[in-house]
Amino acid sequence: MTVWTFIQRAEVEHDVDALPIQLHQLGTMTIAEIERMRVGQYPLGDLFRVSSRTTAGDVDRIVMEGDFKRFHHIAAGHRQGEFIVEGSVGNMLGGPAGNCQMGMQGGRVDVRGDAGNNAGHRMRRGILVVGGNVGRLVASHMIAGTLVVGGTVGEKAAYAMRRGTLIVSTSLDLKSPRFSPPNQTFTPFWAVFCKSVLPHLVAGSAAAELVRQLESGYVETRRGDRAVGGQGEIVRPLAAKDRFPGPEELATLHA
Amino acid sequence: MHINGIPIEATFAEAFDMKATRLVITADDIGWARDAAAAMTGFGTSVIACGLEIDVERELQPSETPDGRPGIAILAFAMSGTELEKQIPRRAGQCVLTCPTTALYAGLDGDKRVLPKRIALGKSLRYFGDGHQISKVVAGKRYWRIPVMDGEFVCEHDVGRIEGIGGGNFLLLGRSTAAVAKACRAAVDAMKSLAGIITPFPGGATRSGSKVGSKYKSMFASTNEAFAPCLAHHPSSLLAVGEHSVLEVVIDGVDFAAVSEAMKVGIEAACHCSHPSELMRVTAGNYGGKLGRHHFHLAEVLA
Repeated sequence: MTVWTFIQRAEVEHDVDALPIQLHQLGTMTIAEIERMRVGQYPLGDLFRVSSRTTAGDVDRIVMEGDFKRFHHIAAGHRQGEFIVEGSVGNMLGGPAGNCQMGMQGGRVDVRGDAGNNAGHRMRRGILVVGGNVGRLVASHMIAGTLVVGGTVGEKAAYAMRRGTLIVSTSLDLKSPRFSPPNQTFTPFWAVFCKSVLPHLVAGSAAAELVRQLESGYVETRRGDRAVGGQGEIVRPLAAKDRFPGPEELATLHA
Repeated sequence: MHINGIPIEATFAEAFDMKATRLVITADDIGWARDAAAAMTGFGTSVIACGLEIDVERELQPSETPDGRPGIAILAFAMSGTELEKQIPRRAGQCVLTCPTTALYAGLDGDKRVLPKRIALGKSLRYFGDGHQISKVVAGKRYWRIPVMDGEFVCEHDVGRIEGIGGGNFLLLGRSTAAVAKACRAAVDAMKSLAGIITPFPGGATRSGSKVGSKYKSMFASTNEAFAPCLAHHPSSLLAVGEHSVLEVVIDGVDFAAVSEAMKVGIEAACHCSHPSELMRVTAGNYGGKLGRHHFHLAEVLA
């Protein structure tokens, strides 16, 4: 399969709509055609040094290296393959492309820095990982899929979430009753998830550590957004000391 | 041909094409997984009346299962894909969904492109969630998370099916039931370590070996009187003087090589644990080669 690498040449002075960078369209284009592509007011070649190489992997991949805080709509409408960003991104990460009502629809997006507002807006399928912090309205109007946030989460998370999963490292301060109170539960699913996802994450990163904690299957979940009849879930892994029964009591039960 | 002085008859076992699949049950501990597997494989000895032939293939270490818990691999065989598609969801729903702490996964690798014929698992069972179920796709596989009273029942969406072989067999003939049972236990115990096969009858063997057809119109299988000691006087009897008991080990497998290897391992174990005065002969059941296209000649299997 093919890996395209986009290395940022210089920081931009204006906000840039990165919507035209679509992994599924790169396969039919030459490097010269990619560099001629317009991204906002710039030819893509002015912003990035682009290269490609063939690998033995089973999916196509795009790797963006740089600081993309002013680049919005990165991985919008992403469908398949891997979209990796070595840096931070702007708003609407993995959101809808153009006038489509669905955001990211498959594959994997891995941002190893921070993300702006509305990350995972209307996300429909796939796995979106943000290793750092996210802004306001993460997972808003989420339809399905899984969104992992290794860092902090801004306000109004999971607003109007219908289904899907938002995985966070700390309990969210959701002031309104849009979500159910936290429930402790166990499910072996998270071990399956961890086994599949963890090898793709940067070892030792906050996101990798969060996913690794899911492996036990003991989690705190909140279901919602009830304001829209949603069945989405906000999941936080539970440390052994926070579980019921705790490790000591469990040992007694198994004795 | 003889093994440990016990004659091996120059004949063949006749086996049939079947549809097969493999499932993996996991649980918090192997005890619950065994309980679910026992329920799921119950009443699954013969397609003659059970719908399918199903049994435990082997127990799995946590490192071998999708969720890292102890597990059990089950193989199921049916005469048609339709029957398999009917039986598996029914048994999964009543025997695994109901069993505490369990989860159910496909045991055959391959998505729709590799194994286009699929058997529903979570695809059917998800409706038990009454709208509260959650679907997740991980690495191209869809899983269903169904809320239940001990947490969640996790179930893979479906499992592929493959072409299998049913009816591999060998018959152990001896001086007494005790002698033949001893040889039979040794054979089945030796085969337990093999992958890709099951011995679906109780204890891995049957005493009611059958022939095709009957004098009664409603019966399409009936006792194989040729090997019934109490009918040794019958003109069709195939028993020699002194052969007072016969047990048949029946083997279903995922391919010809698996069944063949199992027959070899089983026959050798039976012979090596017995004395020729106890286990007097080993033979195999066939219908003259007219019904099944897979012929396991004992001389070739044991070569």
